[in-house]
Amino acid sequence: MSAPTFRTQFLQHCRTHPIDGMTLVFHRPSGTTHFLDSPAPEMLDLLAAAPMDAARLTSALCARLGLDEDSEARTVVEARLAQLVDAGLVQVD
Amino acid sequence: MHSFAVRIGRISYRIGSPWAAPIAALRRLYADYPAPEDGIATVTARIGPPRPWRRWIRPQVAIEGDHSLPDTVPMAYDHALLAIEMAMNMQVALGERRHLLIHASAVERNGKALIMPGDSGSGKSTLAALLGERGWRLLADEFVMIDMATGMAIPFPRAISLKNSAIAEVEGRIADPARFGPYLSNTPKGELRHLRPNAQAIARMDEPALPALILFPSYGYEAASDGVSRSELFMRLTEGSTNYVALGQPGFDRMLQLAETVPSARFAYPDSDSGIAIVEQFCAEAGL
Amino acid sequence: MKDARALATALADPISTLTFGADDWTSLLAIARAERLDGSLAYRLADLPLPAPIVRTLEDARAQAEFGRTQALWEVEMARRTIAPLGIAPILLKGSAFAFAGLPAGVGRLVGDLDILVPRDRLDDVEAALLMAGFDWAKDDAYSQRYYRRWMHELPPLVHRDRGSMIDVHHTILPPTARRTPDAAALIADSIEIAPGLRILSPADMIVHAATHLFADGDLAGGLRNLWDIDRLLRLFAATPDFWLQLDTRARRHEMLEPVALALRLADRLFATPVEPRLAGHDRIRDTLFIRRMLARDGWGRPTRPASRLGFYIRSHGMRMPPLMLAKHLWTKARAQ
Repeated sequence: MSAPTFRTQFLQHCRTHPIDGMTLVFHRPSGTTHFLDSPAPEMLDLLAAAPMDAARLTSALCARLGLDEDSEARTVVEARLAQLVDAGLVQVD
Repeated sequence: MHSFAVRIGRISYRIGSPWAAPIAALRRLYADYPAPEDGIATVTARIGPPRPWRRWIRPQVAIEGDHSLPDTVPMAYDHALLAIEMAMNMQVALGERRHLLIHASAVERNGKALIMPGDSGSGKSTLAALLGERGWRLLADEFVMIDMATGMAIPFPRAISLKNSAIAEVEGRIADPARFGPYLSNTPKGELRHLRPNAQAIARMDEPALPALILFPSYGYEAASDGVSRSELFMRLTEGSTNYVALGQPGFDRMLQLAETVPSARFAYPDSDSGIAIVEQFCAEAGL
Repeated sequence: MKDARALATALADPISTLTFGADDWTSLLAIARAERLDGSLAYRLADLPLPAPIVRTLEDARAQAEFGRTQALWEVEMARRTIAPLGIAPILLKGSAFAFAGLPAGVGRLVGDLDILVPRDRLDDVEAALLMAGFDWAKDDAYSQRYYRRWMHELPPLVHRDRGSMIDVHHTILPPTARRTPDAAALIADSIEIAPGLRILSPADMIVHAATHLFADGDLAGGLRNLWDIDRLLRLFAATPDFWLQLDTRARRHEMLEPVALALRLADRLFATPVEPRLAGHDRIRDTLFIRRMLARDGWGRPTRPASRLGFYIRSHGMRMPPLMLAKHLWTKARAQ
């Protein structure tokens, strides 16, 4: 059974605004306002470009942030993905 | 039903009660206010007995109207005027969507608005009442209404709720006893008395003001102050707005505009005189 | 205004409001809001030359309905994401169905909970998935839980812990204890796919369901709004050639012929809905009692005619459960208050 794939329509659905180093997001379909802190905005950016599973996303994210990819990175990514799925910003297949 | 119709800012109310006395008290409190626009009240607030027999037997007062929340605790008949004011608040809190609501008091000077968000006990109402008697015009006591199209603060000069020690303090500074409502003891909000805004606030209730400063007061502490970041301001304003979510993306844009352009700070103060002094100092620095 | 008749007339015949005075408007708004028909009313009156304060108020009501619609569609989407992995396409019911399918009944309608229908044998799977997705029980007391699972046609209501929204999961449209037994399998078999992973009832079944809700699923609170839904649906569906025949067939299939006939007669009387007379049948004396109950609101928006309300409450529970059970249920409910 292949790993779940995550995808998003973040760019089409949201109005965003940088504020104090975070990203304010208005998600039109749900009418919800979110404050996102790194690495959530970067994760959404990567998924918006291409759907990925958690493993690929972790690698891409670490590359983008210039961080070493360790086991903790994968845990953090999976936790944030779960939050983003709950919030409706990311879908999982 | 006994009935009273009144316009306060942009809200034209019809208020109803099966008991006569609370409506008479309300009429006195809002003496000199205009009638509804074009004679049409578009918002109904009312009080009523939670069960039919409670109209006469140990009377209780429930808060009702076009919009109401289930499971609100009924109030004692002696506090009926307070219940009416709460019913009037509820209609705006739950039904208003033409203006972005901020839970705050506000005063105006030279066309600029000082907005003071805060919960019960923060001192926002007392400060606004006192500033209103020393050269500022009262815009609002409970809800600041921001025009969605222009971003201006629209006056909503309801009767001001003075609580506990603030009552004597403000009584001492206002000569005209007719501006005060009855003294209400042991209400769910403590000792309470309503104050009618002064003639200027009523006469100029259709003059908007530009939001120019947002100050978060905390009454009852050593004098201190601090800045408020844009992100914190956005968060606190949206948390204190009952209709932000319902306004969708335009609400987001308008709230963001406020948070990005209006300077903001918080301050603590031990008593009204220090509070007023701190406010005036902030205002001088901000050009109000 | 002494009852909601003026609201029904305003909806059916918007031009009737052109003669309104100031007090008429204030009362109409209060009644419409109490009946949760202010959005629908605002769309019906949209193009009339009305006083400026009313024009603004109605604009606001339309905007509020639009917001409500967005919220409702989002709940549908989140439910789809949760349930689709189970291989189930839930059938949307009532307001959410109207909104999603773009039906006239959805115009201006304020949507409350999300109501869906799923096969009874998949109920446990759906319940588990919703609980995993952040829903909690709205009534978690033991009596309510037992009551719903044993006697009702739906799971106990679920509320989302972050969004605060509610979802009602049905397996049929009337409680199993009711004297009429709609055919749940037939409802599902005849349902229509409206989007990948989402279904709605067939037009005739939609009317049957609306009629059910109107009379057996409550004490007629919200009755006027449900009847307005029926009016809007019928005007659209009746354009299809075989519709009345289908409605007759399905109403019989679901043992709902009398309630559907009653719904048609009441819609005709209140909204002048064009109905098939052979299906609607002759007016009954009891129809007037239903009308009185449905219009029982005064010009302040307060419910009136308490005797008729109590009668309907007992009657609607009577339709759901046998008398001994009813007595026990009412006693437990009264003690809880």
